[in-house]
Amino acid sequence: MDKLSTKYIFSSGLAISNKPIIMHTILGSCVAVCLWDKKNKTGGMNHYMLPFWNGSGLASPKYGNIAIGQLIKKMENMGSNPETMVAKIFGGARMLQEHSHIFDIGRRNVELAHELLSDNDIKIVAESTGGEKGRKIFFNTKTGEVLQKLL
Amino acid sequence: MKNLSDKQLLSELKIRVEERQQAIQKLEQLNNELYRANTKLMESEQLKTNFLSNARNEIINPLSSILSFSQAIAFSDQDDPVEIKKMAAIIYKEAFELDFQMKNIFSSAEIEAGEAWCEYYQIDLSDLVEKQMSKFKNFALDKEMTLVLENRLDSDSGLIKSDPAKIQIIISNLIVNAINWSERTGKIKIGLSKQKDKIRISIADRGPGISKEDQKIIFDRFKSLDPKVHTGNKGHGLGLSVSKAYAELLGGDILLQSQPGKGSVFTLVFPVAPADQKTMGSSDNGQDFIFDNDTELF
Repeated sequence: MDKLSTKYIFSSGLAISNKPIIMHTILGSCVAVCLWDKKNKTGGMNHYMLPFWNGSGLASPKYGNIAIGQLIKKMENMGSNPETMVAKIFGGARMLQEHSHIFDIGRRNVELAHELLSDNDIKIVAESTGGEKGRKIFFNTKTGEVLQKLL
Repeated sequence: MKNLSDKQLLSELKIRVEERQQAIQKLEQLNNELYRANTKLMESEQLKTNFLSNARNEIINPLSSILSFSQAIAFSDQDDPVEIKKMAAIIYKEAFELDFQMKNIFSSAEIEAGEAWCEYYQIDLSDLVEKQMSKFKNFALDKEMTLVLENRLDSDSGLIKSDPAKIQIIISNLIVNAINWSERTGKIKIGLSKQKDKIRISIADRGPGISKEDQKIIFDRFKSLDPKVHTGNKGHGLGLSVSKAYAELLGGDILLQSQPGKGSVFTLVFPVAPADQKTMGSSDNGQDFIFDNDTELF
């Protein structure tokens, strides 16, 4: 991988870049959707913790429906459209010790990504979800490649 | 096909009917949940609309008073130093509140856009808390109240790596709420301690307390329990929702202990960041990637 500047995506955060950078994050039951536009070499990543905002707290990208909606909108503002965008999704592990009270929040996070991306006609070209291990991912916005390390 | 006896048939039928009933019940339950979520979302949108129309008053009114008092000082013949000092105090108070409200508004916008990051620095927590307290001392004095610090941190454990700007916003919101909600006179206790690897900053007031019902909605955006009639409080109902989101960003939470009639204690709890935490915010440790068997390219 080239020497590129990096940006850590905190949970509930999201970022878009049309410059070549590495966006990286660490996921457990959270999900990160990486959108990449091969035409104008723009990439964006989010990192959400729960599927739906139910009106509690702030309407932030902590929730999948908001995080994915915002990511797509921001990519579109940068000149991308669903035909030129592809998606890669990561995370959604079953972290039992962490979330024993909300069983399989990870699976629901992943399902939501599938639903919303298909609603927006964005193709999922790669996916590494589920399982019981956390993930560390590195998204290169120049090439669209994502390196993943299981934790 | 196997012939079933009437008895078997009946019991099979019974099982199916029960299953169906359970499914219907589950569906009803889900429907109810959906209905509740939908109501809450609509309510939240309504609150946002109210907020925008209220914001006009709450921003323009203090600005007009700042403009008129500063104009009086700068351009009128007023040269009585006592009067000028009084006017300057009003200008300061209005500007301070405006600044406080604007910070909450911009913070919530940043959080809702997913653009809130932590920036970690080496800080002296005791110093930071004391500075915040002294900022609000005058407001407390207006209500004849005092802010008391109970610092159980020794000089070493107060030196931590964290995001000072986020902590400042959280503490100032909790202090302002405590002042606004308390009766006149009395103390607001601010406790500072460290248990295991977690910092606890608690703000205890002698206000009316918060019922269990209200505790559920108190962190929602644009929600204020205050009818504003008897206290004349300002505020948009953003402070606690912003504070909670920032606490989560720090890897912690805000805990609430309260009973009607017995005051409230809000406690910010967050883990002390490990020494290498600065690499999380803006770093180049993405380059330290080691390829091994667990690495895959997508």
